[in-house]
Amino acid sequence: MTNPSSSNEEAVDDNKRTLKSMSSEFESVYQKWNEIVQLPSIGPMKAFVKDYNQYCSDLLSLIKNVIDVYSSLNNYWMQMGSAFTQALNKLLKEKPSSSGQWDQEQLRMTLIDAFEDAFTSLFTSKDFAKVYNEVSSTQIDLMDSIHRIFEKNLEMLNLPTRSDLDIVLKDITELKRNIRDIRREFESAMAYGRANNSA
Amino acid sequence: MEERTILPRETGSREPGTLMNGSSVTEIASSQDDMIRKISKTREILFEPNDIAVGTTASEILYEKRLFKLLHYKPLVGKTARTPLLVVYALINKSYILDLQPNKSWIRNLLSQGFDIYLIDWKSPMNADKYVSFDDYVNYYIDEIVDIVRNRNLVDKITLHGYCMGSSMSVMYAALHQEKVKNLVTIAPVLDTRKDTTVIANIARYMDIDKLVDSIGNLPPEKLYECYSALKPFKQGVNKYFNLVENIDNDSFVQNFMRIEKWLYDTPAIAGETIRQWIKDIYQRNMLFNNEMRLGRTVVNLSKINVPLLNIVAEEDHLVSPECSVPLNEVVSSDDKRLMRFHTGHVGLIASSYSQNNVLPKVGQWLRSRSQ
Repeated sequence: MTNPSSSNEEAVDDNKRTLKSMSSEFESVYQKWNEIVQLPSIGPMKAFVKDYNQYCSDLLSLIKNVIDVYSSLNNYWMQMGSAFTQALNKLLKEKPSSSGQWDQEQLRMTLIDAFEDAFTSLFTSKDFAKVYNEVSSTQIDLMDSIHRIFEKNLEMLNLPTRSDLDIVLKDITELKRNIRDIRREFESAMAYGRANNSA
Repeated sequence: MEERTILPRETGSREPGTLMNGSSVTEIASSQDDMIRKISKTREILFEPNDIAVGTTASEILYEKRLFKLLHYKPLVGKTARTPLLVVYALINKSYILDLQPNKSWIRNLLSQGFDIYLIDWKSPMNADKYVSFDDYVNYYIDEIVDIVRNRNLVDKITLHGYCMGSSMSVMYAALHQEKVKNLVTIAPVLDTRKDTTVIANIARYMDIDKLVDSIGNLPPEKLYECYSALKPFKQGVNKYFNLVENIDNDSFVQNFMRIEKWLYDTPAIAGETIRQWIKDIYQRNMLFNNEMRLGRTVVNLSKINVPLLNIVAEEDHLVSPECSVPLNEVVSSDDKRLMRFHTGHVGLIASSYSQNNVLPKVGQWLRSRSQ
């Protein structure tokens, strides 16, 4: 008999491979297009497609990120599904304690215990931590792609971008710290002076 | 109520109208109706909650800045302790858990024991505060507040009392500004994270925090809720709603439930640089415990702490493992140090009848003898 968890893993691996090949197909088509526009006879046309190329590149990266999110979510749901199956298996092995029938409270506690054990051992495992953080990481990449597209539009309109604001905010925080330190040194010098005068 | 009749199919030795477990059909139908009523009442209460009163102990705001408020609680009895007590709350969730309801209030209990109590209530950072770090929180905000309390009470030193992340911040402060600290009281400090076996520590160890902070800035509350949902997801997460349905007609139970629920889902964002240090320096590199953590230009060396220390931990804490908090007593140089362990959880330690009856009397006793 096939082990369900290993067949699950195989399915996820297959899925991952398909998604990866889709993503590299997109990239290769885009690279070929880029090579074509750089040919000497087409070269002069390059200037006219420069902006268009940038948008294409951003869009391509967005698509790639969507595929990555989808792929990491597959891994995540596979682990959750596996914990769910493990809990159900444990539950099926449980038997009512006394009268041969489940009473409502006993059934509830057995059910909760079975699911708690399966999911808490999943959440405290190294594998889950890795997959969870992979999902977070790919979601951030996706958000970054969207940011990049917006930043380009803001630059085009000659408006400050988030990166510009970040630089300013960092400088302000540093300045505040410097002022704080100067004020402290000044106050301790004053206190020292007062103490010397009174002595 | 309409009476339903179900005819049993089997013709065994059972009485007509009874099921296998001996209950009558009418009884079962009636209990089902009751369950449906309870579920719809629960739904109503959860989705349209009335005002939930929390933090009701009388206090005044002494000082306020964009990132914090300093509260001073009005005394309930005559002062029995000369040294004021400054409570440093965590940057996660809100400080009213320490004053959740009058009969389970940590603050009110200490007030009734005659302590003069101040509390730092951290506010949510804005996007503009993303570069605020532990250096700012500890060396600037806490230090400024400590000076305010010292000046107001005309004392050189105060008792610093932290909870959870606030305990770790109190420890950092005590290591750097010991001349202003008379006693240090910590509850569940996050310290030796290498020994932390919680889900939070597990997720934190593998988190790409640089990427997250560089991209998002401040850590949004939703990220914290994601973590909360993985903490005892069924024993606490699901079971608590079953319990609520069962006890929906018990007003006191419902009010307690709603107060905790409000607190759980009322958390500010955390400043980007602060959470970067928290995850990277404390959880991933264990730098606070190893005396390598840097706040601004200074390294925090815990072995410099030699003030009286009371470290309180919960044996069933699933947010900060007791093994992670206990080593504080080993690394400080204090001669007068005490570790108190209690059989309860992270929140039960500060906001429960158990804490009122078992924890606070002992804490008060320890503090009183060192606060004159």
